[in-house]
Amino acid sequence: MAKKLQIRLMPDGSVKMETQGIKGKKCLDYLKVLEKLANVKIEKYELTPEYYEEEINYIDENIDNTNC
Amino acid sequence: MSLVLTSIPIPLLSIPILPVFTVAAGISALGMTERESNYQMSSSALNNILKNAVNINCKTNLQNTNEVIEILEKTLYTVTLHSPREITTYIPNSEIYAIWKMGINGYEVNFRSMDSKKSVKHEKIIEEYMKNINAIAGKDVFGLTTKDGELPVYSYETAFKDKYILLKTIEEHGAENIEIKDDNVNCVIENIKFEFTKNENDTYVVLTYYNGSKEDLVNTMSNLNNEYCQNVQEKTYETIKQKAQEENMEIESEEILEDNSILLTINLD
Repeated sequence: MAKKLQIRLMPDGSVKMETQGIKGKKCLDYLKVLEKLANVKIEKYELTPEYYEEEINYIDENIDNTNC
Repeated sequence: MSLVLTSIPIPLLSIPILPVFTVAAGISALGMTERESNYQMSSSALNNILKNAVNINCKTNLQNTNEVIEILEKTLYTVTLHSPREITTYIPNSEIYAIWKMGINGYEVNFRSMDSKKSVKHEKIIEEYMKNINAIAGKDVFGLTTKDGELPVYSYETAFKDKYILLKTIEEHGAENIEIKDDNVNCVIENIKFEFTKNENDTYVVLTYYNGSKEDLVNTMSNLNNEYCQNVQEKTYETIKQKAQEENMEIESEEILEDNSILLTINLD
């Protein structure tokens, strides 16, 4: 799934953001990204199920057999 | 998705609210140099004595009866509880009574004097009384005051924080006679005089001076609030666009939704 930030600027001046495709604790890094992008202070945040999912890191398993 | 964030940058006005002061008649009073007195009387006797006396009404921001009693007892004025929502204090050696009654938005104090000739002295006495109450309460209980002949003053707490967005908003609203001193902004809009002052929370409190209908005042404040919010939204949009470009982040799409919110999608891949 593509990694995306969805930032919604509300008519009352508040800002909401959702991360998509970012599993685990890494999504919390985007708190600071939003603060920097929108020049705002985060007042509250909620964790969604993706936070509790583990990000799978695909390791390149191509083995260099030249020395075999 | 893994995270939902909400951030509230600025606006959200708490609409009108605290008419701070109204003057009922002549004026005056005050002070309080001595703090002891055993003077007490019934409510009816008090009303008879005070008939035709000068009086002045002052609204407060206190709503809790226990809090009022607690504050008054600490002043050492003689406190008489006539009913659960009517409390009288006598200011020693002044012939002035401060009668606290629960109004629509909180307690109101009616200062009454038996002798109108002492108005100048009474004014100082009332001023001193207010200072004492404020000192004991640890906050500004009475807010500002106005005298006969001056425009009524109303105070509103806003969530405005940004001076430049405020200036843009009032200019768009046709503000005249704009005066800026540090963070404070004064102006006139639709014959209403506005004084915006930053408080300790870094938000603006606005005082309005206007003798027209309160409905007009509320409408103007409401419009200012809405326009300020729109300007915050606009500024936030521009900020995000600029910062995203600086950070080489691609804004994949922009969409205006039915509720007039703006949805920006940033591709992180």
